[in-house]
Amino acid sequence: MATVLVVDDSPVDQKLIGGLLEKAQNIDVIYAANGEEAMLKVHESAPDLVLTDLIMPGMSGLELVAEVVNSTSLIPVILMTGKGSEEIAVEALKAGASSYVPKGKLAHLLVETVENVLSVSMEERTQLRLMDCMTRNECSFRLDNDDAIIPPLISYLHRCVRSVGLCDETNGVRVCVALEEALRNALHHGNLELDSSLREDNGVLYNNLFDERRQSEPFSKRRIFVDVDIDHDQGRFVIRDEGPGFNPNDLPDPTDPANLEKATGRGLLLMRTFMDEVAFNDTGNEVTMIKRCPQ
Amino acid sequence: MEPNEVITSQREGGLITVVPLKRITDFPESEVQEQCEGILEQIENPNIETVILDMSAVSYFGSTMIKWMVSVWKKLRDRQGKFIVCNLSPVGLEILETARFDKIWSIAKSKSDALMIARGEKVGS
Repeated sequence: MATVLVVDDSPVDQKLIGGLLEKAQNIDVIYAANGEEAMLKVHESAPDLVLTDLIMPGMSGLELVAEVVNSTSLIPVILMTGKGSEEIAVEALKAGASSYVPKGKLAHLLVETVENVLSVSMEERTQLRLMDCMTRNECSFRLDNDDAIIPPLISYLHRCVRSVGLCDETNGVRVCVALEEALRNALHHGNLELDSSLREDNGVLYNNLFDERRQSEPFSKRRIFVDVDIDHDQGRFVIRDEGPGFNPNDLPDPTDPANLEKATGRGLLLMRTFMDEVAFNDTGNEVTMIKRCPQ
Repeated sequence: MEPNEVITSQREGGLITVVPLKRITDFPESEVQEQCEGILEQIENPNIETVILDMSAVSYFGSTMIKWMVSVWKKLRDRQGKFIVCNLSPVGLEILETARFDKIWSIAKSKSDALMIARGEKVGS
């Protein structure tokens, strides 16, 4: 049974919305008359979803969206909007709302929207519960030269370092930064042999060359190999590309005022700042990064 | 909002406020880059005097975003404009400090502080 918290200052609207939701199977409805009361119920009852009116005395629906998202990213929020509130609906989605339903279409759209959002959210929460049981993760990936696969990999590894208790949120984010830099280095400069200075001169040309090389040999046949071993004490991340490699000592110091505007070297600087150890193999196409649990 | 939009901008006179969205880290770099280039084109307009980059929704960013920020800063510097970054996360601030940009860019704690800097007012007064 999922619990939906309905937030509306109008008792008549509460009754209408509650009536619609109770027709759906497996939904239990609780109520709050304003944003402040809603936040208390979010903490007390941990509902599975918050459904809020936009205009209320005190905290607005939009402010409530931001409050709920900031206090717990696990509870989805749906905003009910009035006529002509499309721009506010957009603001709500930007603030982290999962969806919105125009109040004039509640009878047609409410139950379906709530069920869809609940379904996605329940699956995510179940996966998160499983992730929280993880104590060690040793895994390997072989990646195509596809930059769309990098964000989900980073997100997955972020969850892993948090789940095993290696990092708190801040250190987990630092690991994300280092991983992003190492992975994009392997893809852009390793496998596709793209020179950062080209981006300084002409970003469009750089992007075109990125697309072109992904499709053409020998670049297209190269892969990125990622080996990860994470437990509570340490995370070891080995990222190898199939490019010709480089000498990290050849990179200019990006913190030197003379190099501040240059595009090269900053990624490696961030990797070294946010990991405890960073070492390259002799060829320069494999980096090993270690993150230790802060004492 | 477009389904794939990861960065928004709003112009008021000579001021553009740029806001990367939370989901920017979920999108491939090529797509982010394309949208950033679009914003850069808006800043080409010589009437733009100030850019406020509001990072409130972003927990982290990397060298690609820094490169883009450098491009924005260089364009504004050439016309004596102002580039102000506000609402950085702790790691976001650490990234800019590591790259030493905290020494040359205006970093504001909040959007209202950023607006004060844009108007040439002293923050906290």
